Amino acid sequence: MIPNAERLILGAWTALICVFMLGPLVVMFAISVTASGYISLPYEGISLRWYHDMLRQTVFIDAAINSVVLALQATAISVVLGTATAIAVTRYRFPGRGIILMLAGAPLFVPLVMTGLAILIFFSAIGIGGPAERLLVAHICLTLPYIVRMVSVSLAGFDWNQEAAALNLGASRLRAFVEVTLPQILPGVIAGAAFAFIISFDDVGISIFLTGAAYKTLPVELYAFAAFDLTPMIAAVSVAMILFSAAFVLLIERLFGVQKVLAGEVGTKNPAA
Amino acid sequence: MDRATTRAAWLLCLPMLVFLGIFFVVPVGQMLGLALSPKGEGYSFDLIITVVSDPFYQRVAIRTLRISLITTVISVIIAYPVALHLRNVGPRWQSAIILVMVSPLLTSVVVRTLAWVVLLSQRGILNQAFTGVGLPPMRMLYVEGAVILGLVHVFFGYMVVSLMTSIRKIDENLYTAAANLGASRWRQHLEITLPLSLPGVLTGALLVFILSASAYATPSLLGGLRISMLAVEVFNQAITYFNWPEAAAISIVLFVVIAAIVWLVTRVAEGGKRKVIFQ
Repeated sequence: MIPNAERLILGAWTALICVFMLGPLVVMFAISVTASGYISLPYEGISLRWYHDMLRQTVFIDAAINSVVLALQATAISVVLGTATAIAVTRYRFPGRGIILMLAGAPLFVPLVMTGLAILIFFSAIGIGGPAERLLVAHICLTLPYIVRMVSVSLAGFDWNQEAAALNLGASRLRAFVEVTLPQILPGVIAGAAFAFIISFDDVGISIFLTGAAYKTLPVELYAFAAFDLTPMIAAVSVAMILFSAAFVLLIERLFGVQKVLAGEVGTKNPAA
Repeated sequence: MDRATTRAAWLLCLPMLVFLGIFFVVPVGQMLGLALSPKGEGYSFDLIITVVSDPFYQRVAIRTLRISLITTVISVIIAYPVALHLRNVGPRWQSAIILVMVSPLLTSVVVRTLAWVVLLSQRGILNQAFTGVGLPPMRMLYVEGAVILGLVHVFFGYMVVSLMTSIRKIDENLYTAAANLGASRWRQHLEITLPLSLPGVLTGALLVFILSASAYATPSLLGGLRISMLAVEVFNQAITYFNWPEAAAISIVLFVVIAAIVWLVTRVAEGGKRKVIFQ
């Protein structure tokens, strides 16, 4: 039995923490619709002028396009490389599996600034590739561990005999994969891809080392802009970014539940697991 | 294990291995090389020793550890009741609360930190409220407290998830048994919840500590030039002063310090048994 007092105190505390978590983001939203010319709550009325301003700032539009393109490319490549690895490590127990798993997770264990600096040094040493290329490489390193982990977990309950059965019935390896395996692991792959997309889209720790004067990502542009000038427009850009991420959060939530993804429990819904 | 399957497995992993080999392992190795041999002639720890013995970096390193430790402790303390409460509520409330705690993790650190900048800055929302009621404006930005507040907010979700995962696993019957044997509610929490949730506390604490100690954007925006942390110095040396060898040396020191602490803590906590802390 849970005493009522405990329930009440813990509930009140949780409500307080919810306010702490969401409060600053709500304030950000309020600032973004202020009619005033400086950072303030909309005391002087509500206006969309800062959103209008944001859309006229080509630096932000360009940066947003860069970020979306970069995140799409990085996610696509990561999904292919990561899913192949995830299949190998969940399906087979083989010599070297531990080393592969360790390497696949390695970018998570190294501070982001270290990875960013290392890739900066590497690209300057080989002398080819601009900001777009080095950012793509860095973002693939950044997202791979998540893809490998999430796809592995969603594969944990998969019955590989199904693929063997398809092969016995004369399907080619490719066809067996596309028609039997892929549809069943697809939710895990999509959730992993959505997660990877957000990680890439939101990153600043690695990216700040690798952007160039003419090629910035949205978080880096926002960071640079805010360090230089605080106007309600940064709130408008922030709200736009929050809404964009929220769309992906909802997608992941619909597919799996965000907390399961973050706790690495994707796939435990599978009765075979 | 027959050789054909081993070969098939390695073939599947090969693209990723080649990619990470070229674009992760080689760059990190190169960075190590740059720190150990800045001029390309012979290897030595001179640069690392210079960094470690520099009083400025010592202060920054101690501040980094202090801020990360305080952030971690505060996170555990304020997240614990939330994780406990999650046991008490129905599944609908549970997922709603978790969504509130966790979804901020999926918006950019820059956005979440900027929300605190506009609240705390000299002419920010809070100071506007203070001056509105006749109080003098307060200095709330570019102090250690601001950085800690920001880091707690930014990494809080990881702590809640870690605590929740281990608290949720506790068998309800243990409480019933303890109650039947006459244990007070306090005693039940002290002797059941607390010890059984320790793995979650450890996972969450290590995660928040590592992330805080290597954070860049939050300390840089909320701490400014005054409250610098090691990751900020890596950036300053690399980008502002274009001194890559020194930046590499600082980042190696940062990595080694974090790794040593994680190793030590897991050693102590697991009684010598190593455990993978990242789920």
